[in-house]
Amino acid sequence: MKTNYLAAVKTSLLWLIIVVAGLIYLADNLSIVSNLEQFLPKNTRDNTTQILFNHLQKQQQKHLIFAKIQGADINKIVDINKKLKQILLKKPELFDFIANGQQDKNIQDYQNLMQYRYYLTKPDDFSKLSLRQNLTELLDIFSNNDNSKIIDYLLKDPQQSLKKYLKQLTPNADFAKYQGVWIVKNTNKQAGTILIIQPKNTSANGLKTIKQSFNTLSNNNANLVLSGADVIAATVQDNIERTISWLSWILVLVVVAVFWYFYRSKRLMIIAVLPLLISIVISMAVVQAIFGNIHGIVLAFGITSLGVSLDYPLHLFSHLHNKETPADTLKRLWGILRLGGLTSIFSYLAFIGTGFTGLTQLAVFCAVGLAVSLLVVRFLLPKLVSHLWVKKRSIIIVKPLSNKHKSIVSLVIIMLPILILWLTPDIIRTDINDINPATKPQLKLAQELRQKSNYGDDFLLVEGDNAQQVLIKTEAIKPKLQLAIKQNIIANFKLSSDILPSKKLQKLYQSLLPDEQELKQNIQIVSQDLGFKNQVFDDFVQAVILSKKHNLLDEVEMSKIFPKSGLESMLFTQNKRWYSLVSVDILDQQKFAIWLKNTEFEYLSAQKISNNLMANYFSVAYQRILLILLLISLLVLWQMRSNIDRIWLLVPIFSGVVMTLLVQVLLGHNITIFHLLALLLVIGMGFDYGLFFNQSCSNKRDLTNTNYAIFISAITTISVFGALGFSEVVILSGMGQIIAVGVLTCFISAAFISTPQRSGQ
Amino acid sequence: MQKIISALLFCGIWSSGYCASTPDLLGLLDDLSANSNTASRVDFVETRSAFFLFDPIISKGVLEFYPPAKMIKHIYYPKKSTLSIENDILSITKKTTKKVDLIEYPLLAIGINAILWVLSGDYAELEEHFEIDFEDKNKHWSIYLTPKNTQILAEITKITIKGADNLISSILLNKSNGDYTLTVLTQNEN
Repeated sequence: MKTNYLAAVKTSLLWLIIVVAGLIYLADNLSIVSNLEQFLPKNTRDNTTQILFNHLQKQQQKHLIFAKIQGADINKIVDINKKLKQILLKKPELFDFIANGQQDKNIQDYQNLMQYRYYLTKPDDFSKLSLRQNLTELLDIFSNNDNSKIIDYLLKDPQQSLKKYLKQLTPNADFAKYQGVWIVKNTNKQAGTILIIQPKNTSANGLKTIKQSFNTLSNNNANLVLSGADVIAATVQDNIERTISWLSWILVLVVVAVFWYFYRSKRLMIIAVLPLLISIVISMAVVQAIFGNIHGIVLAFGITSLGVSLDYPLHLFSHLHNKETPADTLKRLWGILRLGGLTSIFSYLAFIGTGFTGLTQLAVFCAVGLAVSLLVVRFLLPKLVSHLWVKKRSIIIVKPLSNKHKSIVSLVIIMLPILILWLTPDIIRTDINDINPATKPQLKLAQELRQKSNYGDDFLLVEGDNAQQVLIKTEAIKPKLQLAIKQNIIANFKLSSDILPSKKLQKLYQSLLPDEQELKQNIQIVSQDLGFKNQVFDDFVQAVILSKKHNLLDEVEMSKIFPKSGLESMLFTQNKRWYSLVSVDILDQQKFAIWLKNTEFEYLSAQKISNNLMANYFSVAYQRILLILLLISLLVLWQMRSNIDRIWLLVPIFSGVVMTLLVQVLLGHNITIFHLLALLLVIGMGFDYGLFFNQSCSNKRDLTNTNYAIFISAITTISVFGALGFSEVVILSGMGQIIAVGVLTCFISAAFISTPQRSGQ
Repeated sequence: MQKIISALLFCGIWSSGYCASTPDLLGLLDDLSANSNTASRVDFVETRSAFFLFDPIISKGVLEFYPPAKMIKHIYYPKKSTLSIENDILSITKKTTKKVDLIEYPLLAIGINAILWVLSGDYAELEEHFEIDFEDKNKHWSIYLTPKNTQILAEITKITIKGADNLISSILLNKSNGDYTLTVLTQNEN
């Protein structure tokens, strides 16, 4: 007795040390993330796709915040919009730019560029006639506008070269305007005003500041809707945290209720949750150590999936009796537990290396968790429990169907759903937006505002040996794109060479600048004619003269003098090659496709590439699930050599899979990659239930105990995953629904069909 | 435009021979706002000097005021154009219309708003943005407005609005670089 006690203490201490070590590691290193990128394909070998993905991640516009103010009188929301912009403009440490449709290019902010203006855009004509027009316009502007800063600028740059350069870089948003501010109208024709905000580094502080500033301006009616990738990520993180929080409470409630009612033992309840708690800590530590972070979805779904770890102690407790020690009971059950557990673990491991970091994380989390649970149940639990603590209630034992009825029912519950699924068109979805954890309205708003603000995700790719070669090639595209605009094929485009012309073009621009004497003479004649004092345009003349001597600009110099230009995200080097991404705003997809065929351009669409990769991945995942099902079937066939009744093991698995898919389709949902992942759990549970009903029913007591354990297991699993089915995070709710329905199907079919007819006799 | 009651001229000043005594600024502003509650128009001649020009630029036209805060300036000489201000948006129309948000141009806004606040009798706004001096000698009065905002003061040193009885006769805007804009208002002939 004392030896047993010491062994229990030693084993408990060992596990305690492991858990404490895991907790200490997590306390120092835990990093929970919620961005979607981890669920995007990573292992693509396609070079252009890699380029696009890598650079979309780095693009400033990825972090744009779209703010919509609505709900109050139009004049009021316009007023709030303008004032909010003014407040945010005073926080340059948080925001790079804030646009709302108002003219906001303050020429004084671009002083660095003044000396290079004649290289950046084609210089105007410096003839007397042209200069006369420029100076007459200056007088006109002066007559109508008392803004001395504008006049000061015009005296230095009467041809407005810098202004023209900056204008071509400003995105032309498609928003309507009211009192100078961008507005959009919803389906009820209620107007909202728009701000597009570029946060500086991290948008967390920016988001907080925007909300706080809005609250100081708003009355009760007006409300602020924020959108954009970072806003969605923050909201999703909130939703996931909320889901984890309430799901944990439901899990606790279910466990307490189950052990209070079915086992009438607090001690068993505490011991039962040990495999779950230990497996969660170790899984988190392993995932954190391997990947450097844990995705919120992995955590929520992983912890819920590990809820099945409760099944192992349930089996042990339910089979305990006074004629054998707990260790002997476990040894008797170990073969089935091990087979079921290992099948689930290998099912998850099949998803490693399929290209999605997030899914690989999830597979590792679940596989490690299940393995740890099995080990805890095998080596710790028997040392902690006693059959004396088990006070089970009597339950109705399900009577298995006759073999004839089993065959008919099996055919119906497997073949009928397959037939319906076969006949239903378009049930598979590989649209990247369908796996975005954001809510549909969030996605819709983000997409609408992004599109209207011309921050699209369609690109042409230009490649070359060096930056200058790429810039020259990009410049050559421009006339074709301008023609495409005239033909209403595209609405707009953005070129890296518009920000930084190639040195070849800069040299050409330099050669167009006039001689010093000629310019001085022309400006003197024209300015005197128009009443300007002498020397007023000295700075202008000097700038032109110096521009003939300056060194030409390259991409390194440009990023120093104009860091906010966005050039780095459009012109970049990767794997020793240089690339330029030309952003195009497509008006007509069909016309564009035809136009593209007649060009040599390589077209990249972030959305299309993601969807294609998703379709490929779906296909791989689908094949792997079929492979898992095939391997399980072969295993069962092998076992059938000694016992023909093993055939009924397959029914819960196949019926669980097809029935869950059928229910999703009948509910009007499409099947995504996450549904496939959830099916792994259904397959594991189905095999587990089938094994117990099929193999451990050599006598009536075993059958009763198995019924008892699996009945309780099904109740807990269905309750927790059923609750997850109501999560606000679409991925989690879909997975919850799949597993709840799947486990219910597995339980019923295992009880009525997997149980051999002669069992208990 | 024809409906504008021609008798009610700028601020209603020339309209009725109304000649209330204006012992102080508040009284004057009250009188001005009371008389500007209908549309009104006056002729103007604007002289705008600039440090970079030998001679000031002179422009002529008609100024219309629609209470409480809309003003249109029709320039007929030297070139035709129209400037209108409503809800802090300045629209400049020549061949095309260009809109400028006054919120983004505080220097431009302060000169225009000073006139609108005087016309609408908004003492609170005037006091918030300017140091105010007021002179009244034999029914000829002057309001001197000095911007409180130091950034604006660095550009615009003073705005002087002069008049007699309830008439505004001139508006002078002085800049720190010595430039000035003088707008002289006279009764509209049409």
